[in-house]
Amino acid sequence: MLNMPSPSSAVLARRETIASDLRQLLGDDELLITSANELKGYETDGLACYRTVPMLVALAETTEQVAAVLKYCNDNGVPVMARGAGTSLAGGALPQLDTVVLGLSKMNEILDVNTENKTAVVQAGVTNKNISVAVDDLGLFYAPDPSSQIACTIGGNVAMNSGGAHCLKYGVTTNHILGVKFVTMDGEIVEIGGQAYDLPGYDLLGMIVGAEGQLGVVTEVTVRLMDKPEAARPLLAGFDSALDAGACVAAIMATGRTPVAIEFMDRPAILACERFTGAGYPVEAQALLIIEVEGSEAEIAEELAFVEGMARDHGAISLRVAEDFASAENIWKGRKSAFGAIGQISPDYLCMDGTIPVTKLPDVLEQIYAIGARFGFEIANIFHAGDGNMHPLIMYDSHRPGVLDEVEACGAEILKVCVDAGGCITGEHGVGIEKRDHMPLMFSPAELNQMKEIKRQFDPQWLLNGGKVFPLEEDGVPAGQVVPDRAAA
Amino acid sequence: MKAAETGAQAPNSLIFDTPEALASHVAQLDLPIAVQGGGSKAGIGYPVDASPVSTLGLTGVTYFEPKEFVLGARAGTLITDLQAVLDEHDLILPFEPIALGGEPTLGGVIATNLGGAERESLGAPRDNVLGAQYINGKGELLKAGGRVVKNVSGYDIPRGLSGSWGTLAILTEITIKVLPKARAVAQTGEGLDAVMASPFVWRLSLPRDRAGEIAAAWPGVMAQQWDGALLWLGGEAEALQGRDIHALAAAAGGHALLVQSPLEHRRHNPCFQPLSDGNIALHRLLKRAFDPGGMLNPGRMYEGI
Repeated sequence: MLNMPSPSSAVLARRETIASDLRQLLGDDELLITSANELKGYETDGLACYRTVPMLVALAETTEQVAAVLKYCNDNGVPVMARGAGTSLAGGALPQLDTVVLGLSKMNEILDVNTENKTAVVQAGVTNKNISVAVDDLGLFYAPDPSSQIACTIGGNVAMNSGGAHCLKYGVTTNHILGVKFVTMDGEIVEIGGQAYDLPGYDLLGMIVGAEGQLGVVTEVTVRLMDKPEAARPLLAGFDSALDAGACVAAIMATGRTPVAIEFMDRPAILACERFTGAGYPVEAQALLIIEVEGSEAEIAEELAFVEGMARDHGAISLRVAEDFASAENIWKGRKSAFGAIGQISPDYLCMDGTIPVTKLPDVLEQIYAIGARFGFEIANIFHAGDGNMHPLIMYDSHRPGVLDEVEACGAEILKVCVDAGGCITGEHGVGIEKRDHMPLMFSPAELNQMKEIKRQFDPQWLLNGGKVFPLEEDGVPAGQVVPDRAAA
Repeated sequence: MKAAETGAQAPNSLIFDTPEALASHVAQLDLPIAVQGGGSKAGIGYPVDASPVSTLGLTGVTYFEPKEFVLGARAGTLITDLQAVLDEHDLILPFEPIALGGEPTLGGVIATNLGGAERESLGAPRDNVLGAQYINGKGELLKAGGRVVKNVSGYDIPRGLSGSWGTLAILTEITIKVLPKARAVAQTGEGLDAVMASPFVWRLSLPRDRAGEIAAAWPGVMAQQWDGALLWLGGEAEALQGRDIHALAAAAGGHALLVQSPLEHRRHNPCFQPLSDGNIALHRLLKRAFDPGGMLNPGRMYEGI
């Protein structure tokens, strides 16, 4: 079990005052949640093995309300954390007992779509999928597509620099953000970027995107839209062994003919997904690749021929191309609900997110299975293979006492394998609370301190989404946080 | 260390053979330094009145895995040298350096983040940066990012340092994604040579739907890139009908950079787009986080930064 920072008793003692002050700031009683029952809805996110009921939840409807809440928290030393849809798999939206959760889900309007600039200006609480839905008629779409895209918000995507299956071709969130409205911890509202490419001055967007909501709160986002391809078609290739499938991926990527997506599933994942969605996956296979190509019909035919050839050369035992739009949708539905499907066959699972160089795929897969076997856990692998972003799901039953410690130890070994292979501990889910203590695998104390120094400058009291990203200090406080009542003790 | 002998370098520039040697030099500084790579963009920004330090001694490819399309090289490596290495494997750089003449280095291209003709299809230089080794203002030699494309382990410092013109840190090594040659797109930007022959040259990144009106109003020579969203304006003076170009770009929702101007002009006038108070305040925070003593390229972009 991960240590959680101990809450500030001084803050908890002022709960009633803080609630009444926030109510006044928000100007609408309905926007402040105080009842134990309703607060429970904010106790966790996609990392459901950790739960903490927050002190209060403030629901913002405007940027000005966000600024007022942040300024209040800054002036009064109150921990605060922005939350979109709460889909983080890394505990990025996990509150602490003394946290005011700043909910942004009510800020869900698409403010502007500009077809000439190919941009959309949206509020932070708009879901990822709804951006693409809104511009579909215009022949445009928003490219980064996390599996949770129906629920997750663009604000959360910006915080975590989210990826997705089609990021293989299109790049991740940071490559698609042109501007943000950014609220600082002391309540200043700053416009950064906009409708034009690149920024004058420092790359503040580069710094803010992926900073896990620790530097400020983003309330509006200008995203770049892409032209929808004429058509796209996924191919299902079944293999006798996970290692063959891994080798096939490495071989395709080495040619430089990058398909728009290459997804990998091993046998436990195939069976679970097939039972869950009936997508027509080859249940006899040990591993499955979903390889999507796109373009005109002629381009699709050419790319499919190439990909089919590569799959055959690597011992594919079954090949099936989606024959129409509905079956293509179904194939992706199976993949995107994979985590839910695993939830049907195992009471609990922990999803890892390490990335490795693609050439190391077969080798790393072998090591992951060996680690799982040693710990006695079944591991399902479902991941973005084209860019080496692994998602081993370690299946377990949380009713067994002490099991979470074993699962986390198993996960830590897998991440170490990823780092040793030249990769990293998290490819798209973020560090959050889950991988906080693994950061020293990648960074020296001085390197972590440089990141913390950025945080310290933007949020000197370390109030904004503390306890995440960096290992806790020895006394259990979030790195860098000044806790008045403890400092006095 | 030794004095640099190469082209656009200041004559008394200090040059170091290893990142460690450069880092220990920075750690012992009492006075600021002016950091420079190939010097191809030396004519941009306020002149920095400090002793010059060159990255040109930090050269060579440090990591190259053609099958993974990943290349790492020391910051002072010339772009032309990298192109030669990539060419042997039918690969290309994922960006085209801005065409200002001279011999740009990898570090210089990332530190200035000025996308060339193919920015529209390939992205800006920063879009393909995977990792970096850098020296902060305290002389600490640090690394960030890594060698894989999908990586959200910690703050995105490699991207945060791109476009900071050596005022936050000295890049010493950069890892980038490279591309197969098939992706190369024909160059655009007709008329750029004529623009560059002017004493004043402005580069404007604009919303595409507002670029036309500025292009139409410009009386001097002009070139367009990025499907019309990037304008190069050349002329004899720094204003258009009495209006400052920075103000004009900002009013259209974009930004302008004065990429060529007489030295005397640059001493007293900004090349970089002036920013809002709130925005410049965030710049100060980053400057304090990386270079609290103000040792690196002070004032090159903005006063006090």
